[in-house]
Amino acid sequence: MPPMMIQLLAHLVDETPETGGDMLAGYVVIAIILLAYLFSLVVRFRRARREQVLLEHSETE
Amino acid sequence: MSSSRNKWLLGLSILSTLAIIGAAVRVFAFTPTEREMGLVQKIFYFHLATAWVGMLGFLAAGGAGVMYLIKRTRKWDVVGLAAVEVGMVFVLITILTGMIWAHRTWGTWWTWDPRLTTAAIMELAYAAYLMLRAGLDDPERRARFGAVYAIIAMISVPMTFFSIRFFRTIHPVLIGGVDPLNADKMGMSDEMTITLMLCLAAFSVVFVTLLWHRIRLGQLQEKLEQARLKLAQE
Repeated sequence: MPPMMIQLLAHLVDETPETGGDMLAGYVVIAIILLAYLFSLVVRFRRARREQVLLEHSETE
Repeated sequence: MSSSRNKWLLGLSILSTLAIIGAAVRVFAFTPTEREMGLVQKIFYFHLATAWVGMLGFLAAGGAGVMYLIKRTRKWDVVGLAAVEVGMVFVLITILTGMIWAHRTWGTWWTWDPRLTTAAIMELAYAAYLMLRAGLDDPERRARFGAVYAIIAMISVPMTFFSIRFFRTIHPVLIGGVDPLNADKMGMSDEMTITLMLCLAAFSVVFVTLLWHRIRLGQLQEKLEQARLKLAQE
C-alpha cells in the first residue's frame, strides 16, 4: 500500500472517529485487499494462458 | 472448463458482488449504531464474517489434505492450496479491521490478547505453508508435504476460535465465555443479529466464488507444470 494511502487511512482513523472515519477506513482496507487479490488472480491467469499458448506452439513445432 | 460451469461461475461472481454491496448497504443504512462504541462498531459485521470464512478456508485445506493423502490425486492438492490462499486473504482482512476497531475501543492497535495472538499465529502458520510449497520443486513431494502440513496447521483454527472461551480476554465474546464480566458483551439487537447473519451469508458466497476461481487457476498451473516437465524430459 503506498505511504500516502496509509497516511490517509491513519488520518481517517485518528481525526474523524465521530463521523465514522475509522469505520470508513476499515471498509476501505477490506475493499483494497479484496480488489488486490482479484487483480492478482487476473494477472496470474493471463500469465498462465500466455504460457499455455507458447507451450502448445512449441509442442506443435 | 465446460461452458455450463463457466456460466455457473459467472453467475456466482455476479451474486457475490451483489451480496457484498447488499451487505454493506444493510450495515450502513439499515442497522442501528451501537450505543457505546459508535460508528466504528459497524466494522464488526465484516470483521466477524471474514474471520468465519477465513477459518472455514483453513479447515477446508485440512480436509483437502486428508483427501489427497487418501486418494493421491493432485486435484486435492490444488483445492488445498486454493483454500489456504483464499483463507489467508480473509484472515488478513479480519486482523486489519480488528486493529482499526481496537485502536478506537481499546486505545491501541495491537495487544497480546489470546484471540489476537492465536489469530496472528494461525495466519503465520499458513504463510509458512506457502513458503514450504515454494521451496519444493517435485510436485508429488510438494503435494504430500503440503497435505500433512495443512492437516497439522488446522489445529490453529479451533485454538483461535476457542481462545476467547477458555482464557480471560478483552476481545468481545459473542456467545458464552469464561469471564462473566466479558461474556455476551456484544448485546446485539435483533436488527444487528440479522445484519450479522446476512454478512456471514454474503461472505460465504464470496469465499466459494474466490475459491472456485483460484481452483481454476490452480488447475491451469498444474497442466502447465506437467507440460513443462514433459518437455524437459523429451
